[in-house]
Amino acid sequence: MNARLELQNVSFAYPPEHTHVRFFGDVEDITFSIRDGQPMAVVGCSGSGKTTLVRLISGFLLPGSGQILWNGRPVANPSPERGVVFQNNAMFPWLTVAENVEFGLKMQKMPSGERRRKVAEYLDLLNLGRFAAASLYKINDYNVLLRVSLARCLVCDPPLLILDDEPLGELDDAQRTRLQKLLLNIWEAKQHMMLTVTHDVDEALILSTEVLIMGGRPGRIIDRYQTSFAPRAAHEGIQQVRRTQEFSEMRQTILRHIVCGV
Amino acid sequence: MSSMVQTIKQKLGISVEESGFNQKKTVKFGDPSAVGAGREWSILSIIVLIVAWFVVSEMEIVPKLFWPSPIAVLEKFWEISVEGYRGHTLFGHFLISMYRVLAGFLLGTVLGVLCGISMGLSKIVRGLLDPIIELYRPVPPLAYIPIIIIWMGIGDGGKIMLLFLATFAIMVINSRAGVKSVTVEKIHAAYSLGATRGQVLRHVILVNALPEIMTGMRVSMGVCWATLVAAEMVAATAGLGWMVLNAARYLRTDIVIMGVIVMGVIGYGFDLIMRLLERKVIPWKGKA
Repeated sequence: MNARLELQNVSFAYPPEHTHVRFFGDVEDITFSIRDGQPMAVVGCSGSGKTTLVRLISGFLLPGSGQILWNGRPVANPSPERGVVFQNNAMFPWLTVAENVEFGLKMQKMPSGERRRKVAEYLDLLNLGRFAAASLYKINDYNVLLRVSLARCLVCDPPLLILDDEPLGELDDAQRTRLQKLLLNIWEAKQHMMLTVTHDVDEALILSTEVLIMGGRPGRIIDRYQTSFAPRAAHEGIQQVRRTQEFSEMRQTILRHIVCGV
Repeated sequence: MSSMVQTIKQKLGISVEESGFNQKKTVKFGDPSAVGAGREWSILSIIVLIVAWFVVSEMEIVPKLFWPSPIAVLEKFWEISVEGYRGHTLFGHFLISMYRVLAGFLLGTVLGVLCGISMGLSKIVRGLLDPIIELYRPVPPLAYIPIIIIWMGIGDGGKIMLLFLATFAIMVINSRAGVKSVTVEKIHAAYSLGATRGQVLRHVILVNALPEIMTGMRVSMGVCWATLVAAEMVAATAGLGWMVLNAARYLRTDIVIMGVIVMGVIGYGFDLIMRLLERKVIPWKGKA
């Protein structure tokens, strides 16, 4: 097994005086790995340390103990190789949609001809063509903003795509299914690693072949399940997979594990 | 005909009837968006002001020496524009004042933005500059006029220094606030897209701070203009502020009033220019 992301007994505790970040839960003894091309999901309640886990993996925080290895080397800083699709506030309102998508490539000094070609390709892929020249601050449709955020991240070809904390949470059901389908199609085509972090069990199952369940305070992995839903949803369609007996049983099983405090 | 009146009203920004949407609202009292600009009332208030001024001067309730008529003030405006007052035309005085204001303002803006941004980014710079700025900031600019005269003499240098000091503190505070206003998500996003520190500074922190920096410029432009009169009280021989003060000494009330109005209009003009710049340069302000 050629694991590219590996977490070994990773723990992180926020200092007690950091009351303003106490909203994010501590994590303890997290061990898992993501194989090349594998879609993985983490589900858990608020406060179970999901966001902390994402910050650790993307390289914004260093683990208190244990280690996180990316291609065998400890993660020490953020990198475009582990692309994060942020929840909100992470767009650049002063740029146009196309310039937002271009941002990473420009920072990495890709020649402008190649850059423009790639940006156009990804704007097209995410159906953003008609917004390309629009100033971002004028866009208040969350669905569009989310697709810009996705395009901005995907255009850099990250080997690992991290969907941070419920990015699809604000979409309505139809939009959500459509975007899940799009994510699956892109995953199929590019075969990148994918890490979906959410409290929506349904979404976690659809977008992965392995679901980790986090719970407790500090957050630990309390169980994990291997499935085959992501490739099947990509081929047969999301609704078809959702309707299967197997899916609803798995969903029930996982929901039983998730006991959120009131 | 009525449609023409309507178009003229629209061009002037006057709408006597409320917009359709506001009419449909049941709760208007307390809803900020239901309070229009009231341009028609602004025009009314200016007309009333001028008429009252005119009536009082015509009835000579107050002696003409203290309360000149609007026409006398207008005549002075023309006279000084053409013939000048003590060696300079009105435009000449304006240019001299402008030079002082712009020099102080630009120096203060450039250095203030540099210091403010460094303070927002570095603990060392913040620690070094914080006590100095916090100590001098609350002092009204007028209070250090004596020391400035002692050190810098009575030339333009002292006046520019005074305006510089007024601008600098405001710009430091605003640029620092601008740096701090960036959301950590934007910074994280930039780094995770492969930006270096320098690129984060240039493409995220600085751009993000622009709205606060421009607010600072707008405020300090106003303060500069207001401080100018004080600056020109000090042994000046020309400038709009000096002209007013000098005329007051000889009880030339018409020139005083004319000068005050001119300064008011210019100050307002600056504000309009700054607002226009804001709309052009930072249209995303408040919409991030």
